Amino acid sequence: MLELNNLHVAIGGNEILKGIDLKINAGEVHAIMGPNGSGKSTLASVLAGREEYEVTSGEVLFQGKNLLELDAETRAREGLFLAFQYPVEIPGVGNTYFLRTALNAVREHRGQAPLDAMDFLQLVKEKADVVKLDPSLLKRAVNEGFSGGEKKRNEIFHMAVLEPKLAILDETDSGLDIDALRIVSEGVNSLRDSERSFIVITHYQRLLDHIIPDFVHVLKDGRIVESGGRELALELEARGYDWLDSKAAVETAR
Amino acid sequence: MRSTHLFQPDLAGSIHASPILASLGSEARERFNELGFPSRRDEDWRLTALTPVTGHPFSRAPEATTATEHWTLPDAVTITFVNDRLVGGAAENDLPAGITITALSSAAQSQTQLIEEHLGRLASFDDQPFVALNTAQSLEGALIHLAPGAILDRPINIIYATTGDDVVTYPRTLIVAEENAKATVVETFVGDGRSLICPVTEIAVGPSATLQHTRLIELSAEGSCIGSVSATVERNAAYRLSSAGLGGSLARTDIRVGLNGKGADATLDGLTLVGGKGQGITHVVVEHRVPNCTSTQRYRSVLDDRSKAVFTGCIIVAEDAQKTDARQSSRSLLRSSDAVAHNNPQLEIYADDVRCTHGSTVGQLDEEALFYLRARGIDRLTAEGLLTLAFAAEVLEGIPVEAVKSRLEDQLMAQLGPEITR
Repeated sequence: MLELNNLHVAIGGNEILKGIDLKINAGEVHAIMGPNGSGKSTLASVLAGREEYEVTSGEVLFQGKNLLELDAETRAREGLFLAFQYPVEIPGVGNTYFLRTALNAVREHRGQAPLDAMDFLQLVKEKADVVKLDPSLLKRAVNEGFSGGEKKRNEIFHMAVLEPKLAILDETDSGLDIDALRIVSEGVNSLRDSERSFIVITHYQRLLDHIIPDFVHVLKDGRIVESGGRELALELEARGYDWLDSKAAVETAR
Repeated sequence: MRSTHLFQPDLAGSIHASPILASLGSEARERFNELGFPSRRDEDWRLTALTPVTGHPFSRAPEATTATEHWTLPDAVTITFVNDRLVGGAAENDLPAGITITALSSAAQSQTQLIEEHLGRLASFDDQPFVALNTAQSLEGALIHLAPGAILDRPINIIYATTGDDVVTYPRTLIVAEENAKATVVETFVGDGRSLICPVTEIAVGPSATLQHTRLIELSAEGSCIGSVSATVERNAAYRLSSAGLGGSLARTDIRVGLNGKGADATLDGLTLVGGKGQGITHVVVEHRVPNCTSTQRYRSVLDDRSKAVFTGCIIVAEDAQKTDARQSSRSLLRSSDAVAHNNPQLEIYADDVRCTHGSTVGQLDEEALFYLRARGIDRLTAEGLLTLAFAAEVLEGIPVEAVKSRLEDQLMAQLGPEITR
């Protein structure tokens, strides 16, 4: 599905990612954890196609294609989805209208006919239910005046409608209370299947109580310093991130 | 100065059979001869480059030999003029009692009292050269009269088409809404070639009457339009104007509204879309002459390429116009780094118990929002178009006729981005 080979990324001459190797197969859920400033969001941004980041070396293959050659919209149409850490408010652009434009762009790319208004509304109703999105939010402008939780729910709702092959959730748990966290997680879990992969970026382990990952990676100072199974997240919860420093130091010394 | 201009309006002799129009015309002709075309030394014209108008040998548009294509508002009462000649009248329309729509040339015979009372009285040609020019030269136009209490549910669409190159037209509209009358009027000005349209619209909104007025100006890239709207609003009456100007080499509109009776309201919205080296210029003067009146001005401009937009909005509050509530906002969206927008709020307040607010911004498309749309699969051009539509939404929402609104949205998208499936 996704393969990162020795990915180096800089912004404004500052190297943020210093050689990331990662392989994600279809149907797998990978959690990426790490302290603030470790490069987690940079990784999400680079994969989604933000242009201000400079890939200084390495490659990213998405379904065998060179992802870095594609612009943001083509990546989305190819099936990559980023749930934003800070979803953007867009006054004047209706949530439903926007989503229909996006979905039909994706469908066109896949060689499918555009959905007409009736079929689309049916789909939207169904999917809004999955994340228990207040139907009145569908009629509002994209994210405008939404609470933090509503914005995150809206992201997962967009994901449910667009049905990506790979979804990157960038700190989707931040700003969510326990109930919202559970609803959002259930939404994500309902979309898990053997074909769809997820990258779940989070600072805290609590999200991973709800979305059970197959693999956990720890990103620190632009490098993956530790990889493991679900139990790694629990260990991080108990011990924090600092013990990895000494462990990395020992390994480097060897 | 005039001799240096290539545009030399033919001002010799009277062009009107009707004595009323002839005498008004000759007064205006004299005044135009004194004023001449404005220059950049005139404060009001400092930011208007008039060369597309004065630098071109326009002559009066001849009767059109071919039919012109233009958009017509569905389900409306329509009156159509092509090159200043009536081609389709309202006569065939069934109008409720108390409402008349008449070509000005016939109204000058049949509705002399109305003409005498209002025509040339609302739009001052004393200090407005292009109003003087129109008043001197105008051959035809529409008179809409709503008797007291008359209400028309359907919109009235007045179409002024100008066709051909190097031609000038002088459309003239007079709308008189008497006490408690209510109507919606859509004026469409279309120019298909290198033409100049110089329209003047005069409006009297009587006590407790409501007039919803929309003006659409659709020009070819080489077309120009220099027009004016003058309205007076009486006690408890409401005047709502939505203007939209699309394209053109030079499109300028001067709007003057006088709030004459307590409780009068004027809501003025405008949307200007300019590209190429085009200029889109709007000057608004709202005069609060008596207490307890309200006014709102909302103007938006969208600029591409090397275009220029100017908005000058003046609020005048007379000495005894206490409890005035006047608001103004102007915003410009620069879609190119070579475009220039000027927003000039002006307040002249002589009363002390008033509320006047104004705000203006000049900005660019929000890169974060653009990325958000693209990251969901929407291509850059469409995303830019959507955000531009969103920018214009406030003004579009204010348009009272749904068909006009969707027409404008479609045209905006056609100019700004690829077609979007709805």
